[in-house]
Amino acid sequence: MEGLSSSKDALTLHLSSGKASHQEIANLENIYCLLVGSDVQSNDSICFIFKFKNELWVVPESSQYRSLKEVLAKEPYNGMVVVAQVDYLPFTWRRNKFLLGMEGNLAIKDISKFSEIEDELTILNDCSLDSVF
Amino acid sequence: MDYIEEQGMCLPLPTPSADEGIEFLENIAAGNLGAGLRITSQGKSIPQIRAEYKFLIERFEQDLINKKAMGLSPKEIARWAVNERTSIAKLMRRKQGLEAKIILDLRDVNKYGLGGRSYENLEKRLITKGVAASEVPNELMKGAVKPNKAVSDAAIKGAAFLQNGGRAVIVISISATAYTLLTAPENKLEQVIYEEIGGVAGGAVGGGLGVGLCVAFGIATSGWGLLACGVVGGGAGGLLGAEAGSKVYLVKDEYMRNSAIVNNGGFEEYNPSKFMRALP
Repeated sequence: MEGLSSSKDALTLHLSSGKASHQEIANLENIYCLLVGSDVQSNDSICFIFKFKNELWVVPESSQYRSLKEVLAKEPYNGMVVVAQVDYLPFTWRRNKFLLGMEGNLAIKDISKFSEIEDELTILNDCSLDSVF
Repeated sequence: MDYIEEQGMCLPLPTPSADEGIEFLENIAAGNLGAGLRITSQGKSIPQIRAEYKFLIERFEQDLINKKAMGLSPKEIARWAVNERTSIAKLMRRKQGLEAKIILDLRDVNKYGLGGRSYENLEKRLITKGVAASEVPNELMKGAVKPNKAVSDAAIKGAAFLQNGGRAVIVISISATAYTLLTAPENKLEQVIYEEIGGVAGGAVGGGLGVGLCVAFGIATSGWGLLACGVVGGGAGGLLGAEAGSKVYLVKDEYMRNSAIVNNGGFEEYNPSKFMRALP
């Protein structure tokens, strides 16, 4: 079954295609909670990016709410979460849904793809995960 | 022949003064699309729309604090917050034109079901996700005050740039551009303009290729130069779409980072203060 799950020292992401990735928590660098889009444009959603040393996981809140809540409630992740906003959806996201699109798809991406989103992020230093998710 | 210079870019125009040059370009814009006046008005009003949005959101947040202080139940407050936030979004949509409003309202229906972003639909959606019924009001309140920092900042700082950007968009824009611009942060506005020129011009060797040519030949890359190139390109007709606009931006972005490209094109070495100065 697709989705995010965790054990003591590791995280696993299963995709509907059958592809899966298993990562040690030691390889996890950050978890980005992205507030994507705007209600004015009706393209708003929340999407999480798990940034490991060698790959990214795209985990949309819309389909993974419960598993995200469970995973993020665990102690080891608390200091790793960064809340950021993507207020304007870049063209490639709107058109191709390359990484997130209007509503992200559960996905495993190469770490190099992170450079395609980091410039679009507005880090919200004054926001905690509890206040937005 | 006069030269309008803005932000280090030069563009020759067949007018005796800068003011007449501006008028000339706006007239071309109006003639090209036949909807120039409406679009001109839209371009000028976008900074105001953004400022109004910021004002309404801030007032909403203050009202929410007041409601909580009044001791209303979480469900009552959440219902009020959802309705109020949805009203603000709809108000902003109306200001972007009827076409934009219809498209955006349809998105809501598609995403949330008949009735769009109503309290009941949002409640259903959360329960489907696995949120306990008792937690729904808190979750909805959280969602209603979700930060909109980038829009707020851009509304204040981006107004001056946006006025120029608005003029550039005048040439080829349709209402879709307005709502894209509405939420584009300040540092993305120029890119948005490029994309919209490429995507909406519909024209031709159009906005997209027209601007591309301008970049390639170093005539100009933004502000008035971009506007004029958009006019030239847009008038030619064709089918290049937003892909072209995006590529144009990438070309320019590459140009900025790699002075070798500049040299290959016969430009002087890249210097931000002289960026895209017209060739002699």
